[in-house]
Amino acid sequence: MSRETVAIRLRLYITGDGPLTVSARSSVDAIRDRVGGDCEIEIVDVLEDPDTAEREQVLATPTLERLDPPPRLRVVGDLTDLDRALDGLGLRVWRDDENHGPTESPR
Amino acid sequence: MTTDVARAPTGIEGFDFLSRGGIPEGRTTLLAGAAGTGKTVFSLSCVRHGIEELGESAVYVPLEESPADLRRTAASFGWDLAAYEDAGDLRFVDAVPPSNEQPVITGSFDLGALISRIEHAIEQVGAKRVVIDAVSTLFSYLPDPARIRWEIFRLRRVLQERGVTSIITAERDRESPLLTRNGVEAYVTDNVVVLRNRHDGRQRSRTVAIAKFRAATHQQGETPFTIRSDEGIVVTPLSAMTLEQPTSTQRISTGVDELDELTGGGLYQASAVLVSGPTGAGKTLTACHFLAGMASDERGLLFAFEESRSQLLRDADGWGLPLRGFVDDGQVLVHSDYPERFSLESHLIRIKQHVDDFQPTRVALDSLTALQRIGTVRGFREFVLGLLSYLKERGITLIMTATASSAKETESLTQSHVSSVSDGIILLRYVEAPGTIERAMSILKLRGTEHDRSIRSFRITGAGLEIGEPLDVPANMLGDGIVAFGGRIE
Repeated sequence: MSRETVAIRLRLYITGDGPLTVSARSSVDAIRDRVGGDCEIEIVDVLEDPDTAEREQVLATPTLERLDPPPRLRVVGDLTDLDRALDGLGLRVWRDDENHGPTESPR
Repeated sequence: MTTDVARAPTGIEGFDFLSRGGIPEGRTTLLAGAAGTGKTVFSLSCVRHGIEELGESAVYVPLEESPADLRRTAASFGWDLAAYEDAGDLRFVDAVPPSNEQPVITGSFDLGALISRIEHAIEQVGAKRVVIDAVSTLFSYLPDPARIRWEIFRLRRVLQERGVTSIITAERDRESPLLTRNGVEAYVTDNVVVLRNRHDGRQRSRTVAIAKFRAATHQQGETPFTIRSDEGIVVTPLSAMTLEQPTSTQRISTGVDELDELTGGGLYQASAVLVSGPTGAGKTLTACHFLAGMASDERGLLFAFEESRSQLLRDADGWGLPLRGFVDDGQVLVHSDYPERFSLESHLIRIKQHVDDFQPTRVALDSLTALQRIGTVRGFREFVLGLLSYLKERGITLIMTATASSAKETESLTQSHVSSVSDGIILLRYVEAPGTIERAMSILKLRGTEHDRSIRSFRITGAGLEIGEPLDVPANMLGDGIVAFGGRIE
C-alpha cells in the first residue's frame, strides 16, 4: 500500500474561537505537514453544530479524531505535543517510515 | 423563613417534607452517595415529577448508565421515559464515555463540547430541570482533576444563568470522611444532599441527609428511606410525626362483650392498645376478636409477623371466630410476613401503604415483639411512634400484641416507650391454681376513661375468650406471671 492511495481523514472538534481553538488549529496544521500527502481535516465547531457533537458523544474540546482509515481514535487537548498526538492517533509510524500505512492500533 | 429560597418539589414525599418543599429552585444541588445508594432513582424521580405533575421538561445527562439502561431502570418503577422523550418533555445528552479506551491527552482542554450539548438540549425542550449523573466519571475518563473541577464549576454557572433547577450527582467513597471522591463539593457548594446505604449485620438501612442548603431552612440529620418497586424512593421523616392527633369520644367494640364492659364501653376510636402477655396466653386471640367484632361498615387489617395467614385463619376457626368469613367478604385483610424480610423502616412504609390502600377502621399487629428483635432500641421506638401517629391521624384503632412474660421483657417494652405511648394496656398472665394453670387478665391502663381494675380469670374455649369473675387472691400480674397461690379462681 502506498501512502498516496490511503486517504487520512481527521476531524477536529472545537468550541468557538477561544485560545484553545486557535492553538489547536495551528497544531492541526503542523500535523498535516508531518503526515503529508492525502490528509483531509474537517473542523466541527460544537457551537454551530451541536448535533454532530451529540451524535459522536464528544465531551471535551479540542478533540482530534481519526475517522479514516479505521480504527477511530481520539486525542484530547490543544495538541501541544505533536509526537504524543500522532501516537494517540496511531499515525506516528506513518511519519517515521513511509513504507508503512497507518497502524491498526495505537499500541 | 421569609428569605427562604423557592423550592422545586422532587415528588419524593418525605424528602419534600424534610427539605421544606424540595430542592432549591433555579440552583444546583449536589447529590453525593456511594455506588448503589439510589442517586439515579432519586434523580429520575425528580425528573418524572417535574414532567408529570408540573409540566417541567428535563434534560438528563447520563455519564455512567446509557440512556437505554436508564429507560430500563425507570421502567422497573413503571416510568415510561421513552414516552416523555417522544412528547418532547425529556432529552438525554448521552455523555457516557466510550468504554474501550481513554483518550490520549496532550495540551489543555475544556468541556466546551459537553456544556454546549447540554445548553442545546435545554433550548430544544425548554428544560426547567437538568440532571448530571454522575460527574465522577469525568474524573476517571479525563484524569486532570483540577481542570474537571473547574469545568463543573463553569457548568454549574451556565445552568444557574439559564435558571434551571439541577442535580449533579457525585460518587462518594463509603468509608471516607470526604463528601465526594473528587472534592466536587468545593465547587458545587450551596446545596448538598447525601445518600447512604449501610448494612449493619443482616439489614440494609438507607438514609438521606441534607448536608446543607444555603439560605434555606431544612431538617438536619439522617432520615431513613426505602426504594419501592412501584414508586421509587419513599422517605420516612419520623420527626414529621406530631402528637396533635384528633381525639375521639367514639367507642368501638373489642369484640368481647365482657371486655367492652371492663373497658367502660369499648375502646376509644383512634386509640392504640397494647396486649401484653406470655406465649400462648391469648394475645393473638384477643387481636382476632378485635377484628371479628367490627361493625358491618368497618374494615380491618391484620399484620401477622408470627404466624402464616392460613395458620391464623385456622386458629380463628378453632376459636369459633368468623374471621375467615370477614376475609372472604373482603372486609378483613391479613398480611403475613417474616419480620426479618425487611428493615423496620421498610415494614413501616409497607404497613402505611397497606393502610392507604385498604382504608381500614381497625388494625391489629401481632406481634411487636417479633419486630422488636430485628432493629435497634431507637429504631423500634421510632417504628412504634411512626405507626401510632400514622394510624391516629387517620382515626384508626389499633391493637398490638407483645410477648412479655417477665419483668425484664416488660422493662424492654417500657424502654422503647411502647407502654407510655399506648393508650391502653391489657395484661394477660398465667396464674397457678391448685392442680392447674389458669389464665388471668387485667386492664393496667386505659387513657381517658374509667375502667375495671380487677384481675379477671379467663378461659379460651371453642367460642373464643370467656372472661370470668374477679380473682380475690394475689396473682403477681406485674411480675413474672406464674405464681403460686392457694385460692380458687371461680
